[in-house]
Amino acid sequence: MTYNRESRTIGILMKPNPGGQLAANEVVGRDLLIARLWQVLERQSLVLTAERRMGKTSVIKKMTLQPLPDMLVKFRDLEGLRTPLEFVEAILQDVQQDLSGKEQAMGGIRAWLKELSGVEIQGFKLPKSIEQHWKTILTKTIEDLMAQQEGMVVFFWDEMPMMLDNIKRDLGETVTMEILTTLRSLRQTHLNLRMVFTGSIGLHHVVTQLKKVGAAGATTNDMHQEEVTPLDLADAVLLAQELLDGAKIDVKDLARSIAESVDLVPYYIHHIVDELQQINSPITQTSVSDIILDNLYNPSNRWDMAHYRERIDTYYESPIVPFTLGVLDELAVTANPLPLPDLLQLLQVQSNLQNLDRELLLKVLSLLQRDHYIGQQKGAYAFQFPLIQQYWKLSRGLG
Amino acid sequence: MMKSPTVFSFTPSLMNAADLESIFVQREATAADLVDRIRESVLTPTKHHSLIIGARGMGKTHLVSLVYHRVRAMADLHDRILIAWLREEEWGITSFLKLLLRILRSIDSSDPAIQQRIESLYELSSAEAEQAAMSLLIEIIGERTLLLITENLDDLFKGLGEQGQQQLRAFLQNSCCCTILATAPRLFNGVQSRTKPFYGFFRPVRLHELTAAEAVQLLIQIASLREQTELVSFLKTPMGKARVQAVEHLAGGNPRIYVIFAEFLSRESLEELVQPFMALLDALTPYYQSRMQYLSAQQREIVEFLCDCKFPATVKDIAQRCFITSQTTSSQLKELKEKGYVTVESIGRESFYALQEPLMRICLGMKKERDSTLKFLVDFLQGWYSKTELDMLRQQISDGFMQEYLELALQEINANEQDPRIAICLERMKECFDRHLFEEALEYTQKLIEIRGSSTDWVEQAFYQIRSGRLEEAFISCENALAIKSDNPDAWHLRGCCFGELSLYKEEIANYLQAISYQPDFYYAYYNIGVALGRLGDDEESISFYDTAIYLKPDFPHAWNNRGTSFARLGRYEDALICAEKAIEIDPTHFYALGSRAELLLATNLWNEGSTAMKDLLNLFHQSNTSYPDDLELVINGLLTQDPSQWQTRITDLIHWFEPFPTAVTKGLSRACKKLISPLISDTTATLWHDTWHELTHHLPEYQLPLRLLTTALHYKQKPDDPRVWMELSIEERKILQQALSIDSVESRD
Repeated sequence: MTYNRESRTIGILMKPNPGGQLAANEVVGRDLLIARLWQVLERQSLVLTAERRMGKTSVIKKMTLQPLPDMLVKFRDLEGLRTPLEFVEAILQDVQQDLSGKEQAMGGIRAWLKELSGVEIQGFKLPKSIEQHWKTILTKTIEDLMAQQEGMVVFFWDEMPMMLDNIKRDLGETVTMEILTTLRSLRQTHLNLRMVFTGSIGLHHVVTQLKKVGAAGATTNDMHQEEVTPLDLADAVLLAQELLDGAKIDVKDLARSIAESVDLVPYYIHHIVDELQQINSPITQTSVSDIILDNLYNPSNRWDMAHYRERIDTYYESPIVPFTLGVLDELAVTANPLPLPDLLQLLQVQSNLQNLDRELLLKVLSLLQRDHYIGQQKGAYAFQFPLIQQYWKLSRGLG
Repeated sequence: MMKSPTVFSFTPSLMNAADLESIFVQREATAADLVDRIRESVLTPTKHHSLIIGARGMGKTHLVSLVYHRVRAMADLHDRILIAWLREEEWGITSFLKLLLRILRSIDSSDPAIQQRIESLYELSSAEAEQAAMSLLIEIIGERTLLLITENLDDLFKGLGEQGQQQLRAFLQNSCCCTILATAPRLFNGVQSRTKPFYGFFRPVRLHELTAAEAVQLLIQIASLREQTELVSFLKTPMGKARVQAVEHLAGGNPRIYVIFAEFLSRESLEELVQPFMALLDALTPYYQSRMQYLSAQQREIVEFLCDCKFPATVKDIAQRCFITSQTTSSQLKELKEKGYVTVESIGRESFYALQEPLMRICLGMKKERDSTLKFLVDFLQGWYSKTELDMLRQQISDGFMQEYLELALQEINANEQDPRIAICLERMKECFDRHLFEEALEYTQKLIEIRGSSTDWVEQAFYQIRSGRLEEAFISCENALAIKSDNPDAWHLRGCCFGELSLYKEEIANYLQAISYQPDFYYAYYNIGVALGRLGDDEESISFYDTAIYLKPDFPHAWNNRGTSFARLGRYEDALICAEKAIEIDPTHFYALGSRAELLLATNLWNEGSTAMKDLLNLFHQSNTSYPDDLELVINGLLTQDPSQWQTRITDLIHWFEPFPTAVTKGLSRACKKLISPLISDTTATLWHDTWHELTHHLPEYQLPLRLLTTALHYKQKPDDPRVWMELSIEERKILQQALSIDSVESRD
């Protein structure tokens, strides 16, 4: 396979567009990541994880717009779906649109649906009477699709965990688990079928909650886990510079300053330039730090940093919350990454954490890594994003 | 085009495009940017979603309406854009389906087939209708881009609930055919919280209050639109601008209120103003009452408390009076500020909260009035008229009813009740003064002017501006002080000081005299006149003013010292010494008096006593690391008349004592050349003097110039008519010596 290499479009005048939809050529610095993701997809499906607003959706949309040759790709945001039947309807809609010319193939599905429901189904809305057959409908739909395809078929399903969470709340854990196991089964049946799950809440949280109630079973262990990380420095600076040029802001070294101040996260780069554009006074290097401080500490501001604290209460089991907070507090005040033994020692001397042992600490660290609070390098742990570390330290009164 | 005479302050979306443009101020860059982004969203795959944030009345609908018209006017977008504008207060959107239906109805479609299909949706179940409506909308949009304009996005999201929001977001992500322009009174949870679907989805565009200048511009444009030429002219006058400032104070920069007040600005007589104004307040009250409905019970309580407060209040005061904890109060105030209900002002370490729009207090106060005193009317009168105007009106008005309120308004202005911020400012200013932080003090004087703006406040500002070297600003502050109170002696006095800093001594004196005319016991003014006269060379006269200053304030060490200086210049050294010693008696640490005494003792041949005094003084200068402020002309002149056999020793003493400050000696020596050429000093003495100095200082670099000057002075004394003596000096050095000798310049023959 050959891969699409995006040619760098230096000089396009980009307006800062934090949160909006970017055109493919405005997605800067993701070529290598996308190339790696295509390589993964050659052999297996993918779970794409990242902090919110890291650019997961922009990455997969770009892949959807620039697929590899002989590949059928479909993108869908699933967060609005609340039942398995709605999920199936969405797939049906996506698949039929693409195969609209191949009446005979889809004619098969329609005929079967008519037999099942007793009515002629014209559009994509399926009658409630056949809801319990959603697994079969899904399976058959995919079978028919794959039978028509010679190349690979990739479903990019954004906000999959959100849909699963909705279904779990409305219909229970068992149904939710069935969706995951059905999708797994389809992946294993059709060697050219690939699925990419992305989401703003971690899939692992959903799975953990399912396991808690005994809805056990392997669900995504056949899928490769990949993280969307911030840009590298050169790309982040390039993005910042292009946005500054688009905003007609000309201050020496500002692009680098912006990129470094926000941990090279593209959303925040857009955001900073957008706010700079709206300032009435002359722009200096200090303007950037002022904006960051305001967003970190002003409770009415956009970054909602308090979420990092609140999330622990929401998603972490009560018994481990104190340990989790303890770990983050220690890592917040350290300038260098801490190896496991050092971290354990520091925590065990605290009166409320004396029950912490190595195994429990490893569990906590694993969760925190998966939720992108911390990262690990050469066996030592540190906050993944200095911005979050800065916020954590000051909001917790750690000096 | 027909002019629309009505400016719809509450519903600008009813106005036509031209009228909207003609009264649009401040936000042109914002409007242009929004239009650009919509264009880009239509013409490219990029999609922007903007959220205009501003408190009620801040102009969100006006901006959105203007953008709408501009986009519609773009011919190249006609076939590529579809616009759905969900109007303000679009009630009844309680689900994603309802939203889709509203959008479908908002799209301007004259195609009967499409209208029929929209109608047929109502025959389906909710689930089917939702699917069908989505498909229909996508079909109608086709290859175009939908511009969705929606106001009060926070209300819309509330109606949609989380499920509806998820569906909407999924629709936007899946269809990629929509760009959104939305408004909201503030950033809200739905777009701000990381757990919500639309977190970080919109780029906020904040609208700011109008400044006074922008408000004037707005009102001029409205008046022009209404063809009210007299009002246009009035608004350009100082009175007109003052009225606008009164509205600014009442309205807190809210454009809607400016628009409403536009027609009242030029009303001259109180009778013309009051009745219609009371009617206006009555009309505005429901608006402010409805704004209260958007608040929680606790927030309403806080706002009501601030309505009752005359002055801004601290968190502690508010918490106490509302029986809420300080922490909760702080948190609620933050939200109220974000919503545009309150404003906060920091002075030093204290924060003071007040209503953003005092007019809100007046309107809500109307509803609470139970006695006959219409407090709200008193508030309005205070805000609308200056104290001077109120005074004048009280004398002119015969209506007993209005007289009563004018009297009350004046009493309120003069009341002893102090704004707590004033005390804080005064305290901070004193701290700054004690620590010589004059620039920092200006921060607080500025605050006082904003709060109170009295003549005294301007004088304080002028004082610190002079101390900070900001003379031009100090002049303006003095003028402002005098504009408020023309008989303010302090303002005249400081104005004089400004002239003095510029060495305009006659003007300086004139201002001090003016100050004295208003305050006959202004001893400092007398003193300063003495200083100015001294600089003009009139020491006799200056002594008489020092005498008056001392008469008014006998323990005034500066006056005593300067009196002594004037005596010394007149050669009356004994009188000078008495004055210096008197100054020291009053203030033993008075550097200048100590210096004067030491110099006088040395100059009058009391060398031993003078040595001790001078050495002690120089020790003090050394410890405080400051330079000797004077030159030793007096001492050196005195030395010239003393026994020449003492010169060696005494000159050596001077050189030694003043080794850290050689300039004091070198300058003195240069100036003493004038005495050298006096006929009272013989040639022999002069020569000996010259030779002694030469012997003792020829090897010291600092003394080279004064030695050259001394040599030329000696030669000039010996041959006053020989121009060649000046050839020993460079042109610059000649000027210095000629000035010292008080002779006219000599033409160079080079």
